[in-house]
Amino acid sequence: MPRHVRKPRPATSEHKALVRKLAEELKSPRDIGQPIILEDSTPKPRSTRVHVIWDCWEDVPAESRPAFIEKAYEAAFGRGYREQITLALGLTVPEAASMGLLPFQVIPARRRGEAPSDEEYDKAMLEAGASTLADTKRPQLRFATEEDAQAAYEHLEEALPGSKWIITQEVSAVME
Amino acid sequence: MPKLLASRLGEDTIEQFRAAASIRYEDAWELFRNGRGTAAIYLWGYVAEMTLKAAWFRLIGFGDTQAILAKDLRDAVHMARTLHGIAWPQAGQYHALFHWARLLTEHRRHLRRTYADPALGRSVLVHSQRVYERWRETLRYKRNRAYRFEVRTVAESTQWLLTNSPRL
Repeated sequence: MPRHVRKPRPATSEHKALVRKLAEELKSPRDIGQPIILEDSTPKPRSTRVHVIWDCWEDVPAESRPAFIEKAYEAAFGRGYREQITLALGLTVPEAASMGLLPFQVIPARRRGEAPSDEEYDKAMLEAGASTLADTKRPQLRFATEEDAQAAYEHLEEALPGSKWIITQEVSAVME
Repeated sequence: MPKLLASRLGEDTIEQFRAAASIRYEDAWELFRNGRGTAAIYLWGYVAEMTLKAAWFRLIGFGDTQAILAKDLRDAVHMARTLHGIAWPQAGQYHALFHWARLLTEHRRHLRRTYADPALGRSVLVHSQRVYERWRETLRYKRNRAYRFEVRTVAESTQWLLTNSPRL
């Protein structure tokens, strides 16, 4: 009978760089773009559940992502904070979307023939942290909350003058 | 006019699971006493499921009255599959009570909060498996009848899980 032994994969230098990058993001979170960090904390017992939604996870084995998140939290906030983390999930944008975590989207509402061009819209979206994992030709800007989507909407209007956008919300169609 | 029952159902919470587990446990005994062993198993399975889920959400720090949402169940299954390598079934996934037991014990190890008594961890798995081998949530659609020894097995293991729920 075959024997399958599951072993943790050793961290590469790219992985270590990713942990450092995530720690920097935790210390200085940006208003827009990836990673999207969702924390749910309870005071008693003191615990935190974390989702880090980031397309950089694509090349990281799923089983390694929680450890990277925990290490980044320790680097950013110390061991005590790390020990509060009871659940750490690292998901790419498409993975998070399929789990219903990013129900809000900001999408272009461009009329054919009007400026700015499709390319300019795509560029603005990519600079705002859009994901191209699901479709390399159609960047997606997804958000966990309507407030974040609204902030992105306002940012994009300012960043690309003359552009038009709409915010949509998905009703979860995830199978239970 | 008062709201109808389906409109009065609150959100799932640890508190709700624990209370409902006790009520359904007694309901199941009532069925058993009236010769409805298969129906008793049907309810006892849910007692086991709720007990294990309450233990899981307690472990990860949910408050007793914090709403447990569909996304929280999805997170648990995702964590089980990715971090712990648990081959979680797709069909009836949120009712896979043996897998909830495995997730509970594996994640305790991950958080360095293993049971003070290692035998407790083994017993959680043994009793969960005993129930799961004799129960599915789809039992409600079937006309099969459980053997008396199966009913006794599920009763014993559910009782163990419920009695030990504060320690899980």
